[in-house]
Amino acid sequence: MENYVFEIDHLNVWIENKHILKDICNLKIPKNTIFAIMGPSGSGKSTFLKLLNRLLELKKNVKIEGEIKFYGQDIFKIDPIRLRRRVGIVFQQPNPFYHMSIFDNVAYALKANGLIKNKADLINAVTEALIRANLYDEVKDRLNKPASVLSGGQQQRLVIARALALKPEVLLLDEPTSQIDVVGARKIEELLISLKEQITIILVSHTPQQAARISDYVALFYDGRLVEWGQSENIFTYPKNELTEKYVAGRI
Amino acid sequence: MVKDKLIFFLAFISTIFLFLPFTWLLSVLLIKGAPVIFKGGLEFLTGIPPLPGDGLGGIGTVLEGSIFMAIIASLISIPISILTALYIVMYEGGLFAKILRFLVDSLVEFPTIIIGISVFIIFVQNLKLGLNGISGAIALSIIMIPYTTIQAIENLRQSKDEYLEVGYSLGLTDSNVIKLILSEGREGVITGILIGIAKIFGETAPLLFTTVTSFNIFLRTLTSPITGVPSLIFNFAFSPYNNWLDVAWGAALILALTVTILFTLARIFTRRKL
Ligand SMILES: Nc1ncnc2c1ncn2[C@@H]1O[C@H](COP(=O)(O)OP(=O)(O)O)[C@@H](O)[C@H]1O
Ligand SMILES: [Mg+2]
Repeated sequence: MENYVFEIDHLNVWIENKHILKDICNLKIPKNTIFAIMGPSGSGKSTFLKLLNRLLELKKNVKIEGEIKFYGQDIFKIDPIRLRRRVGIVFQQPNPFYHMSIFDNVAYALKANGLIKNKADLINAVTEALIRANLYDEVKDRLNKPASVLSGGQQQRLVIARALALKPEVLLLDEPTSQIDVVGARKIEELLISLKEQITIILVSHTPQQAARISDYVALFYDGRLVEWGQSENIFTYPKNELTEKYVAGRI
Repeated sequence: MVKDKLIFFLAFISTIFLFLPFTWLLSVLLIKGAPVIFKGGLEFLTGIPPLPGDGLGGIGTVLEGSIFMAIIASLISIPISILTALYIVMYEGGLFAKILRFLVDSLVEFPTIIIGISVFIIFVQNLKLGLNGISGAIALSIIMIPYTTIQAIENLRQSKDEYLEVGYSLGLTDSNVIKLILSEGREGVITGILIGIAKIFGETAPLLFTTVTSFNIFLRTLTSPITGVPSLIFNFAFSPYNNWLDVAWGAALILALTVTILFTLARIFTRRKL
């Protein structure tokens, strides 16, 4: 049990009375891995990701049934604010705080949450997060510049640093490289690989190629259902399900 | 093709029709007003309006009146507008938010003279506030609130779409998420305030019911008789005295410039991240 970060069973989600996630059973996310989720657009990947740190519940008319355990604990019994500090998320569109400096972007949550009050500790924490996000060398001379001076790929790594500053145990990423140029995307992929030693990464991937390149485990979602999941080598070489085979071959 | 050309032609004609009165207006204002301001110099902004036939003087007293009422009106409007806009954005779709939005939209369309009469009946008469700058400012704030609120709603909604989930995902509490949305949407709020002030700076009608006209004394207390620039223009422009006509032109140009500057600043703020 200790080896799984999330365990999901009999999960169903309705939004505005529309059945979005349909009976997702026996899905387990192993610790310290990159777990990729792939599937055509509209198959429920983002919805699933936002369930895991209880962001989905901010929406109106959301009904959730079934079981999601975080380290064996029912996530619906964990205070969402605490859960979200342990499970960070990064979205598709880089969305730094444009009014704030690079430094403040990373420091913001630490300060607002009252986690660090001392200036020196704050500088250390921000520096560490930027280093972990592979961004420090590129920004160390301009920490007081606004976030808007950075390129799209750098902004996305800044957003990752912002999430890492809270020292989460899990990082959720929703198609983090789909809006970013190839070089920037590669840097983010390398970064994710380096991060998995310390944290668990759940990555919604916009291409099967990316999932094949960097994931240890992979799941395919199709029309709100979990088609199959398992170790990436197995899924990509011997898909059990015809849908998986077609998706990996780029035919759906 | 023929249709395209026709549409282009019509658009061209209507642009000219829009452009002509605007440039004409501006030219007249500049031709008549600019020499007055140059002649009067700084004293035109600080001096006391002249007696008939007695030189140029200045519009200091009424400028003070306008600024005083704009400040008080802003102090009333800004917090109300921000809170209203925040509520409408955060509870979008809810019944009370819909009612508020409807009220704000209706208030924009409301004839300002009716706002003046209502403030007169409620504040001046019933609450015995008297005819003074405070009553005037209350009337002006009612005019300002919907403009400021509507602009703030646009930007705060954008900020909410962008940062609500981000804020919560960083483990922020509800109140910190709201602070974040306000902070990242702040140029919309500032734009709204500037548009609101520009809007009330040229208002005359509501002041007719809420203030006592006095052109030539500076304010001594918060409730001294008070007048704004537009009232001076209205009174002096229809006088038979040449020096009053000059003062009216100069004041009109100052008013036009102030409002234009406020609107331009507002445009800049909507585009720029602060
Ligand atoms: N707020 C909502 N209201 C109604 N339907 C929604 C809402 N959000 C998402 N959906 C629907 O849920 C389905 C899954 O969406 P999503 O999780 O965004 O898929 P993916 O990320 O795989 O593209 C889609 O059919 C989408 O239309
Ligand atoms: Mg998605």
